[in-house]
Amino acid sequence: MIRKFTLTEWEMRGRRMEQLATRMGFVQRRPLDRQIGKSRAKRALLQRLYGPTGQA
Amino acid sequence: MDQPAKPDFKKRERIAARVSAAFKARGYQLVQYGGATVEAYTRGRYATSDVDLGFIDLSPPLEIRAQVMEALGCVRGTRLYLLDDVVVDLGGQAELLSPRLVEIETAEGKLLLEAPEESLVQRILMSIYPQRDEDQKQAALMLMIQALAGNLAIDWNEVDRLAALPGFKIQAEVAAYREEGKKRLESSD
Repeated sequence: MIRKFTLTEWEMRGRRMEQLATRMGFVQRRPLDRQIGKSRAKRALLQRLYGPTGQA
Repeated sequence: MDQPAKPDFKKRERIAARVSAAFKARGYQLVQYGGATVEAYTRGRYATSDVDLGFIDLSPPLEIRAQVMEALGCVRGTRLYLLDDVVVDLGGQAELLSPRLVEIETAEGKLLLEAPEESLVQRILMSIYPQRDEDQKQAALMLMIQALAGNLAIDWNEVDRLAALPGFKIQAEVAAYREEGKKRLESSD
């Protein structure tokens, strides 16, 4: 079963999500050094691209 | 090397949709899973750096994968590709536990996402295993609160089913997160 959202529906839902996340004060960053699942190759590539934290 | 402008989650969605469309034209269906999907479901409040994509049912041979990615402008590789400053991790067949996928439209086409129920249960598991992880706890709570607020189309029976699977067995933790989410929502009103 696939639930489908048009661009408009997803953006409307997204605005509600953003409003709620802002109201709840959620700001989440996850530096690369705390991500245990990433391969060494991916870490290296992300750090080369985005700096030491590998965080986009 | 100069660091490019850091792409946001909307750009990552568009790139994932672009890759999906290219493979769909060759008869293959991609699905996005992992951190970038949590990012989509939390509107960027959980930040990831790459896009994880896997194939539903049939996974193409390496040569076709390389051809498609090269046609999109990527340097030839086997799994990791850089497309428009976004790192794309093109895995094999996706091992999904829930069939309740979500399809969204982006400015560059359609993108299939892992079920939000699966994202939620996975993050709750990752918040306690292999050890307690505060980042994952925040991600799980964000998903839970969006679900409780009705912003994510969650089937709670599916959440319960996934939580009871042998590899999870986290029904108690799911219930605890649900309670905490409710309290936080109520206190923010």
